[in-house]
This record gives sequence, structure tokens and C-alpha cells, in this order.
Amino acid sequence: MLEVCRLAIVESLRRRLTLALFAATILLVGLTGWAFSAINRVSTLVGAGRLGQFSVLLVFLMLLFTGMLALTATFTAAASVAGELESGVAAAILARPLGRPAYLFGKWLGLAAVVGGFALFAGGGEMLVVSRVAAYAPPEPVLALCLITAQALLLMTLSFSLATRLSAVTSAIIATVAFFVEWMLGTVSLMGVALKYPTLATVGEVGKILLPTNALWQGAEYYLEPRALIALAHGLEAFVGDPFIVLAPQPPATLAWAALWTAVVLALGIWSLRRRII
Amino acid sequence: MADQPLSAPGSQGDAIRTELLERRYGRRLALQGLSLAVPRGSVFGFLGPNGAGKTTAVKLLLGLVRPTGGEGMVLGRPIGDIQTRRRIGYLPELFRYQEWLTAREVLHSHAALSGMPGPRRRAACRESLELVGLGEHAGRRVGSFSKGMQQRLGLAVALLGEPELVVLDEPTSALDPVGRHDVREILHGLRSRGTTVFLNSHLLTEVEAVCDQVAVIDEGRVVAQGSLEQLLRRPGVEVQVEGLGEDEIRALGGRRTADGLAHFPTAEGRDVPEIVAEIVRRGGRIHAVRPQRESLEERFLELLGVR
Repeated sequence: MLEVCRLAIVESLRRRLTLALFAATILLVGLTGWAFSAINRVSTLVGAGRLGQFSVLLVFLMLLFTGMLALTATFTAAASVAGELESGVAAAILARPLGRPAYLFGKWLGLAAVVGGFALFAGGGEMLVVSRVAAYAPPEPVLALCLITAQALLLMTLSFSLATRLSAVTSAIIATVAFFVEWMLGTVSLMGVALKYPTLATVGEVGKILLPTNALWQGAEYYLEPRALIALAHGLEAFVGDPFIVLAPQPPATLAWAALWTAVVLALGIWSLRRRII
Repeated sequence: MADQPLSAPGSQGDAIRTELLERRYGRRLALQGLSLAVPRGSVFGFLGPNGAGKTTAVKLLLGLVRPTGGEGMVLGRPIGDIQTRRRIGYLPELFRYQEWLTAREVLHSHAALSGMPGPRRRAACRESLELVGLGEHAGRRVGSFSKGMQQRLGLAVALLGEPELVVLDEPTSALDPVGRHDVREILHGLRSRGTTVFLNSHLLTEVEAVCDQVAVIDEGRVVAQGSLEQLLRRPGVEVQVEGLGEDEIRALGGRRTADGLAHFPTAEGRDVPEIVAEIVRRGGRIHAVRPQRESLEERFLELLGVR
């Protein structure tokens, strides 16, 4: 299993995926630094106004980053799994004394190390550069990064498991579309809350159960927002349903469901591979 | 062979033994009632036309596909047993290895996957690569290999660590004549080492040259099985002779062929000294004696009802 994990990491290095992700990180962090530095220079806001401005900007930046991460996670995992199964590489590996669960779990571990490493490295780099150039740091950057990484791994697992049966492109597209649909459902749900229209809110709740990516994002968003801003927004009608203000952390049950969801989908992927003709 | 139960003492001598092995894909029967006995140390040819179920049978033996009926033993363990795979080398029909690894790294990776102890790996990988003629290319990326070199690499992977059983699915499909000759030499070497080889091939002349036993399958069933001696008919002996008339040849049980040879249709190889002595006694001069044997290709086509 560890050999398969090692191979997955070596593959990302040799195929220059790691290099591409590193270059993307440098570009992203560089642009972020430049943009925040410029905004910091020209902004006339002070105190709570400045805090709110940088908070919203950072949340928006990290939201875009999760989209980029979603694409990276889904396409990396799907290409690696479906590629080996379709090319015949997997047949040669699985003829060795290695069970299919060990093969798939080893591969998952390797890909999780690459995707998770990128999420932590690039996401952490962005927060770090913002704190250096704009002197703004979110209250709980580590927790926020952990939830963003968990979201990427959850999505990677979906694409990964689909790729045990479907082609790489199909698997990655299904997982990516699911991610964006769930994002839309989450936003619609917030609007439902704001408009006091329970049906819309329920749709969001159902979506959260089916694919808890947006729940993880909202959890991360909470840890990116200054506590003073949250205290200010509490009870104010204007902030109800605002996608850039999350007033409470995600309940432990939601986080536990996201972890369980990931484990179940990975188990389904293993079950699917066990039944597949290699 | 199918009349001996799998647990019978005689089956201990077989590297592979299957009893009515069956694989169904939905409503399609890919393999039906496959009963085989592959003696240890033999080079066993597994023949059949495209779609006959050869690759399905190979995958069943390796545990890559589960049977939907029947049973089988490989190296004394039930088919599908994961630990038995430590003792098996396999070259898949669709031989593809990680193109981003070097040939040496592919071998090291397979050595690790098969549980070979670390200290042995380096020497085992080097030996295997040298055996298939890739010793000088050990440090090259697989992606830069020609198809033939990739097949040689697959063979090196299959031979890694001197497995007791080597399963080769079309091992020469991408090789040039030199490569095919090399594979034949390797197979002879394996036989002399006592390794059992299960060779799935379309190339009948090759099978004929290296195999001790063969099985022919068609539409998922074994239609013939045995040694080449048992399987191939011997349609007589041909003698290139001068000085004998038609009547004298007929008196010896032969006849003149259109190209002037004396053909003895009921004679076998063991009858050659007697035929030669009789021709010489009658004053004939012999230029050549050729015991005839049906070719595997002729027999194969006949078994499949093509001829």
C-alpha cells in the first residue's frame, strides 16, 4: 500500500504536476500580495471599515481559491485512477500480492498528500502574504485552512471513486459540476433564509447532506472573519443571507458528516473497483 | 485429466489445475467448463482464436477476475489467493508500465509490491533487465521505449525474482524476429530451471518450438489438450530415393508423389531404420529421409473446423 502511495506522489512529481502547482502558488501568492498591497495603499477606510473591507476581500479570494482547488483535486485524482485502470498499468500492479482495497487506499493517500499539500501550501501562502502586505490576519487561519483542505479532499474522493468506473474527464466533470451546483444551492439556501422562504432553505439543507462541500466552506469562512465583524453583524437584518458573512461555526455534526461522507464514498470506490473487471 | 478431483494426490504435481472453471459476463459466457492440468516445470501453450476466452482464463488464474463457476488451484492454493501471487510472474497482453518511471524503477516498484526483501531487490532487478536485453537501458524512462522494448520490460517484470510460475499473455506480439528468438531462448532457460510457463499465444510456430504441452480452446471450451506428440498426427515418412521402381516402392507400402518422392503414409519415425535398410537392400540410393508431422497450425485449424 505504501509503495502505491509513493508511486502516486512520484507520478505527480514526474508528470510535473507538483511543479505546475508550485508555479501556480507563486503566481497566486504574488498576485495576491500585489493586489492587497495596492488596496492597502489606496484605501481610505480605517478601524472596523478597514477590517470589514479586508475580511470580505480575503473571503472572496479564498472562495476563488477553493474553486481552483476543486478543479485541481478532481482532475488530478480522476486522471491518476482512470489512467492506470484504462492503460493496463493497474492490471500489472494488481497481479502482485496486493488487494484492490490496499491499491486504491494507497493511491488515495498519495493523491491526498499532493492535493492536501497544495491546499495548505498555497492557501497558507495567500494568508501569509496578506498579513505581511496589508497587516490583516484572519482570526483562525489554521482552522480555516484545515476546512478548505478537507473540502478539497472530499471532492477529490468523489472524483477518485467515480474514476474506478468512469473515464477521467467524465469523473472530474461530474465532481466539479457537483461542487458548483452545491455552491449554488448553498447560496440559494442563504437567500431562502433572508427572504424567509423555507423551501429554498430546505433545498440548501438537502444539498449539504448530499455533498457537504459548501458546509465545509462556510465553516472555513467563519474562521476567516474577524470576531468583531461577526459580533457587529449579529442581529442585523442586513447581514442575514449574506454569503460573505457566516455568523456561526459549522456544528460538529456537520463536520462529522463530511468526514463520514468522505469515508463512505472512498469505501464505495473500493467496492466498485473490487467488482470491476481489470 | 478432468476425471481427477482437485484435492487428489496427483494434482500436487500440477502448477495449475482447474475444474469446470466458468466466467460469465452478464448473459455472455466468456469461458465455460475449463478443465486444465499444467504440470510443474512444463512450458504449456494455451491456444485459441480471438475471443475464445484465453485472456479471461489467464485473469481467472491470476485472481484478477472471479469465476462464476467451477474451481481451480494455482501452485497448490485456490485461485485468487493473494499470497500465491508472490510466486507468480505475469506479463499482461496489454503491457503498459508507468511511462514516467525508468525501467529500473519499474522493476524496483514491482519488487517492492511483491514483498521482495530490500537487500535482494537491486541484484534481482539488474538480473531481470539483463536477461531481457534491457541492461543498458535501465536508467531510461519507459515513455521513451519502443513497443518492443516495453514488451521486453514486461517480460523482465514477469521474470523478476525467479517466480515458480510465469504467465505470459502474447509475449512476442510486439517483438521483431530477434526479439522472438530471444524470448524462445528465455523460455528454454526457464524450462531448464524448472519454472512452469503458461504461454498464451497466437503464434503457433512459436508454441510448437517451445511448448511441451498445449491446450486449444474455442468458444470458452477446451477442444484438445495434451503433449505435441499426442496432439499432432504423423502422416508418414518421405524419402528422396533413386534406383527404385514404382512397384518396389509399392511393395514396401509406399507410393511415388507428384514431385518424385517416395511417401510411406502409415510409417512413423521409429520405422525409418527399417525403411532405409529395405530400400538399400533393394539397391535404392537415399538422398534424404523426412519423417512427416502435421504442423500445429494444421491441427489447430482442423480442431477449430476451419479445414
